[in-house]
Amino acid sequence: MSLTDTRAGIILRLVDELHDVRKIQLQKLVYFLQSRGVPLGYRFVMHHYGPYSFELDDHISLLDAASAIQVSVDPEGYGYHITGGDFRPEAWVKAGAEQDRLVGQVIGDFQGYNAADLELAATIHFVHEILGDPDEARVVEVVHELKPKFPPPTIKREFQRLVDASYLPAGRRAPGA
Amino acid sequence: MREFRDPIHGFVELEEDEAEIVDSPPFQRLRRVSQLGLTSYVYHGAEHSRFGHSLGTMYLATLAFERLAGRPDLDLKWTQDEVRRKRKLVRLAALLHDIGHAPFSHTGEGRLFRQPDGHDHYGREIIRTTVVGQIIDHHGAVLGVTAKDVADILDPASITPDQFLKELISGEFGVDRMDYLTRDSLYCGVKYGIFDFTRLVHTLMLREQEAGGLVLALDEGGLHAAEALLLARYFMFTQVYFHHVRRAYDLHLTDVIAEALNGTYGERKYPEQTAAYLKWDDRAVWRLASEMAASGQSEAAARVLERRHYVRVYDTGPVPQRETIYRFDEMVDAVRGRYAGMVFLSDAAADHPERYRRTDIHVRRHAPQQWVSFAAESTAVAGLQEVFQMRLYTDVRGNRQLQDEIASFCHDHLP
Repeated sequence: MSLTDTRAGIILRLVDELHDVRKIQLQKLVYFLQSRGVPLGYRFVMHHYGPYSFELDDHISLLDAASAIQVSVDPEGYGYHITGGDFRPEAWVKAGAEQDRLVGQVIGDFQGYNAADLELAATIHFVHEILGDPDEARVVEVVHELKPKFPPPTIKREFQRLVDASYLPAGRRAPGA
Repeated sequence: MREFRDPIHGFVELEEDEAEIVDSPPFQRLRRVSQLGLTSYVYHGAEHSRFGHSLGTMYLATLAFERLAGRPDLDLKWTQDEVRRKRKLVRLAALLHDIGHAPFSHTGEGRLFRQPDGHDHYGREIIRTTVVGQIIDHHGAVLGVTAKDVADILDPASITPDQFLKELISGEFGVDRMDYLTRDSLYCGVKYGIFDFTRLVHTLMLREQEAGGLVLALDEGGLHAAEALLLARYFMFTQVYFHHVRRAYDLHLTDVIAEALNGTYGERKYPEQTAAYLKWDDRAVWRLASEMAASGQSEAAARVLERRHYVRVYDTGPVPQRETIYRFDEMVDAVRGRYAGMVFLSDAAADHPERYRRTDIHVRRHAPQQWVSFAAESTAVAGLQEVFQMRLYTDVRGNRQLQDEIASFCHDHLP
């Protein structure tokens, strides 16, 4: 799956806006950008910390190899974090700029979210998509089974927040709810 | 109990349902799917099949699971019934993880499948819809294991409470990788893939994530074995899986299979119906390739049968410079324009499923007791860079002057 100018541009735009972002967080932000209609074409699957794209991970590595970003081990935690590099071809910069509005919107929508918060939000969204028009209670049930440390009221609250921010349609209520 | 004598693991024992699965036509087909495609054109011992690897993966999966389930330092709270159920689930999933492979394994995966997850899609369909699934459902009722459960473990997109079993089989430190690195090394006659997988299996852990749910982890005693796996992966990739001659044949063979599919179905994709897909194995391709070469229909088929591969004229090496990464496609277009009468094939490690990648896993240290990151702790693999090698091939066999001329053109265009 090739690294198109749009894919490269979006990843660089996010890294440049956030300055220092964990790889796990970048994955989730790209996931939400794609859910907003940005045509990235990444396939996401459920992984350790919620939806994850192996193709996106490959492209992050490719951009690191090209010195467009820098991927470093997080010495105090787990995984990797990403900062900007100095290789900035015009085509990538231009492609990223075309999606400025949506990138800014997604960053703003999840401002203040730490990795766990993003994990929960993205997992809720992903489960909703996988189950195909489920009611809210079913999504909460499945997410709680996958991530038992998140209590149902917390999951429900985040579900509603995603609805309010138009990432999810208004949930169907379960009968009697 | 049925036994198979395996070159790596000694005796692999199968329970009644597993023996029935192995005897089924979809599984027997794996004897006719080569593990490494046409790597035998470079390393002539590499004639092993997906059959042995599937048994080996099941063997290691069982070893790893039983070790995890029995660890006194893991407070898993599984009942005996749950342990039996998960053990059966992981054995079946490991045994069947490659059942959907196409002829010559990964050859042509990016081009010949209509589904984004390629052979994995067919694997799940075979489990769900053929005699394999019927055997699982029939025998699995006692333990509460269904064909759908097994297919879900093999589906990265599925949601299952047994998420860690997916990782145990297919993860970066999973048993699939442990078996094939060792097996491929043996059959190729190289030593690159040798590492202490027994030590690694014995030091696997499970960790409860902050959000809940279990992930695969490692006891610190397995750190060096894990490093050795990554080194094995790196060297097996650069020396075997991405060998320039082997890859030339992957490209030619993909053309052969595409032509054979087109001749059969009128399109260059594997058929959608699982029953039709199962008719495709290495022997079917060889038969069609022989017919196409004999009738003069296929230049690619003739090349493969006569071992007349395209020669590489440009190679970036494992870690290309940044301008090269950005402008490789542009260079290829320029070469095609300059030498318009010739056919050029390009290849990129980025498209290869076995490309060496950085990875991380939680490691449990004992003094002090804490969880740390493998990527942060390991020094042996810190210097390894991800491989993004790119190559260009064309037909310049026997024409050194033209080969050098094209190579110069490429290097003038790119560093």
